[in-house]
Amino acid sequence: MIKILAFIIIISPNLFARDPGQTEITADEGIEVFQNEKYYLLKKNVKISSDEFNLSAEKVKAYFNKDLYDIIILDAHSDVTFEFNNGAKGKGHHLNFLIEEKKLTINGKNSYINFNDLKMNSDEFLMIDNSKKQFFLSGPNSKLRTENLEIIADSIEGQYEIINDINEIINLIIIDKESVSISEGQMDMYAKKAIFSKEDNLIELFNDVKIIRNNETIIGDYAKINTLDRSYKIISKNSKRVKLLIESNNEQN
Amino acid sequence: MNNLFKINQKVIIVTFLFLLIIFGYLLLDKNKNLNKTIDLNDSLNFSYDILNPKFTINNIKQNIAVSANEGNFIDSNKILLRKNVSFKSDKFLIKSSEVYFNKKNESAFSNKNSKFISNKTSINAEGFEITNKGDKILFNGQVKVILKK
Repeated sequence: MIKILAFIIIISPNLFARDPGQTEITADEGIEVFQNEKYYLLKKNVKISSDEFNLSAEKVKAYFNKDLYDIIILDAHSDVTFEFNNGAKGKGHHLNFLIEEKKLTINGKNSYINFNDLKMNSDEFLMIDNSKKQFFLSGPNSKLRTENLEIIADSIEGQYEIINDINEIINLIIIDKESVSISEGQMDMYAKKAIFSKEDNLIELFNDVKIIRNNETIIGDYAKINTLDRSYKIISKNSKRVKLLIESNNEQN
Repeated sequence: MNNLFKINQKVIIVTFLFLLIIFGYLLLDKNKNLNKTIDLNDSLNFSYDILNPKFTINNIKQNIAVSANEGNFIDSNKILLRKNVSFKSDKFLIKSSEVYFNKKNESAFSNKNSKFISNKTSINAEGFEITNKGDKILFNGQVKVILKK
């Protein structure tokens, strides 16, 4: 009996598996097809399974071009989770996916996209545009993390390129009305705004700049950091002075 | 004296009555079977009002041809279409076993298992509803959509 049960459990997924090239969509509370408006609405416990991605949500609106099979936009709502065949996966309250452009936007609290060691979180908005190789995070708790970098800010806008199958960030513009936070292991940087350029091997910090490295804290209004040797130059516009604080490792009791 | 005259008159009467009862029963039973046949014929005759009904839903963009094996009038506008019901346009085909069709507003409704077939698309549902002269099609209950490349 146990053998039979085991056989059924093992064979069952294959019985219901879709054929390669097919997209299978299931929903618990039906579909409304609007032929003139060229979209269909899937309701309750929607699951989409294709060669490229798997997606689940409570409600999905699929816009099509010529016919129902020809989906150009997916608009998913409530408890949206997805996983692409390249390993990228994420979650959010609302997802909009332009299939041809491979542009993905996610909204809602605790939204995230993870792709290998690149992790993006936000409580408001995340966007990845694969055709333009751009990404954008905005809103509270927006965070971009890699293996040795963590950026927290209200707005993180960047570009990337794929080098040897690895996504490398080439530009970043980071803004926060309070303070941008950039941690890269050896150095913590704070400012109202930061710009990163891979081509110039440069990080620029603007307004209320604070750099913490080892035990030293340097405060100013503008800073340039060389990302290769981590040397930096910091200036203060108003006083023409830079404040350097050095903390002792030996704490006094 | 002949032996025949020895039979009791009472026996003859009882035998006659017995035969009469049997004859009466057989006659009654025959009529009953006859009635049964008539009832069956009646039910066959009135199982549907229209044989092979055909309608068309006229839309600006497409015409949908509606057909079935049988149809019953529910009222002056509503018809229950049964057996091999199909809604066919140049874009899609919907098949079901039972569909309520409203001639007045050209809408249709079914709560039986239905299948939608279109170009590289199939939908299996627990029923469907066509409104706005076919511009909007709602597939009810648990649905499964297969899209091909």
